[in-house]
Amino acid sequence: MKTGVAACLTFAILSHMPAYAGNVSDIVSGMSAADKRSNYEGIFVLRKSDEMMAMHVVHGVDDRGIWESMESLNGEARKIVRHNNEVISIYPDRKLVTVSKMGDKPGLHPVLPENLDKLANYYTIVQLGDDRIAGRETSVLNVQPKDAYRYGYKYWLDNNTQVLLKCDLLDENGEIVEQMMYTSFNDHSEVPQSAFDIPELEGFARQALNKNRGKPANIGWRATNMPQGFMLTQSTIRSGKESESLHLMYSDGLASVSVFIESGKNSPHRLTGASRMGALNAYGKQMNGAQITVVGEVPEATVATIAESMERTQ
Amino acid sequence: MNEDKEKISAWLDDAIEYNEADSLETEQGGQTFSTAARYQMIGDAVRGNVTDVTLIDISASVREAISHEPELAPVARPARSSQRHSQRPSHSKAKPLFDFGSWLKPVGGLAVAASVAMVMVVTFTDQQAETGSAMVANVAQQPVQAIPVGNPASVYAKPGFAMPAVNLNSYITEHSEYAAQDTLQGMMPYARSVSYGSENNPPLKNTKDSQTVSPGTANNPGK
Repeated sequence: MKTGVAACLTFAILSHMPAYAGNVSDIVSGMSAADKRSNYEGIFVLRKSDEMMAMHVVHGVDDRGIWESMESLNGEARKIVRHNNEVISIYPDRKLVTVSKMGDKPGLHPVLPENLDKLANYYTIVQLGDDRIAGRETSVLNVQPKDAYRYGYKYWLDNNTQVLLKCDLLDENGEIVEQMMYTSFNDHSEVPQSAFDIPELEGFARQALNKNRGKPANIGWRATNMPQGFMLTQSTIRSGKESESLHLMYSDGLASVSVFIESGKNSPHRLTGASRMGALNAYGKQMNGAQITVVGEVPEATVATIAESMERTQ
Repeated sequence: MNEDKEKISAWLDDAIEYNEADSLETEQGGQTFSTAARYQMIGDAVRGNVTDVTLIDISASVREAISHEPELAPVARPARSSQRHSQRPSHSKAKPLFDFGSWLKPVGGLAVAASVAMVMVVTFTDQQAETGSAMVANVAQQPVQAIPVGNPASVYAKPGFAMPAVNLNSYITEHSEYAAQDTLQGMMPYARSVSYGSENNPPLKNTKDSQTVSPGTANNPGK
């Protein structure tokens, strides 16, 4: 009898255990590494506010690095081809190609274990169980913030590849503000190189988005009231004839916030106060002749706090 | 074949005209050209050799329509009552004076048209910022005009047009692209970048009368 009860209990426990019962850190590490080792193709939908967008994604890794192609399937035709930190955006309707190159900074991925430990200071990460997305078995992670200065996340990770197949972004009230989900997903053994071809460039105008950008010798600004955990990860400056635009990027490992500081009396980005679009919040103010604009997929309190605490250091 | 490769290289260096490239396309059937271009474009980007854009008038008729429409009125977003977290900033939530979903519905066609114009303006802004033109300093105050090809300087010369909203699209796009390097979520920021760059994406509206948070009122739990 006791054996029967124990067997039932064991079955009940096992039936509720996630199929991928690895350490949470391992799962998050696997999610981060998935982009660097996986070849896959699929269609996903992105919902923000009351808009939905479908995209065809092809991702590949070869000896030259990471390739990614994203093509919008509704609305304006647009294709992005990314090779490591270089991004080419193609707008067929406008016959426009823009090219941008992000910095050579590797980001936080190389220091992931340390970063994961830090994440635990600001988020509670628990494994919820299993689910099925795009016909594939997934493990579900719930990432809940410990304060009101960051959003919560819910991740559905493919059990075979650890690729993120669904992601919910939850605001400070626990309401979904953005959702991404694959509706079809196939992993490949080789890179589908043809997906990264750039077709029909003839007649297209080309625009380099990185001209006159560089690393500032001295940032000259600082945030005196930065929510805990956000660290400066990038700083770039773009120089114009009559104005300069400083871009400071802060991240806690999951959430990112950009601070743009534009000199010149008549900035085209004269936002005053708060503004919101889906998961993205923005907050702007003018200070000592500079326009300060803070944007990020974080609560309004975060962008407001950072913007109001910016001060010159020189 | 070598001659063709030289043509491709010359086209990428803007040493030949597009009509010559067209002939190359015809001769090679497009595939060779595209494959070569894939790597060359990225090489150009790395070397900083990509040429400046010649702006294209994408929707003169749309802008003409906008000029006859009244300025959009922002719509209040319903306040949320539920609270999940015990730790919350003490300052009041700034009143969102716009809700794109709401104002898109009654004026859908116009909103899309306005965003078409806004995407165009973003392109112009980037271009001017990079080339150092004084025009960038006056974007918010100047009226809008259809863009003649190759003549960006006259964009804001025609009276009777007004900027419909604060232009943050370039900031948002730049934020999304940089954010992809600093988060664990892989391509998600890039996906956002695609969606924010869409014509269907409405521009952010200025909320000048939203409540402003003073530095002393925000309760930062991290401090």
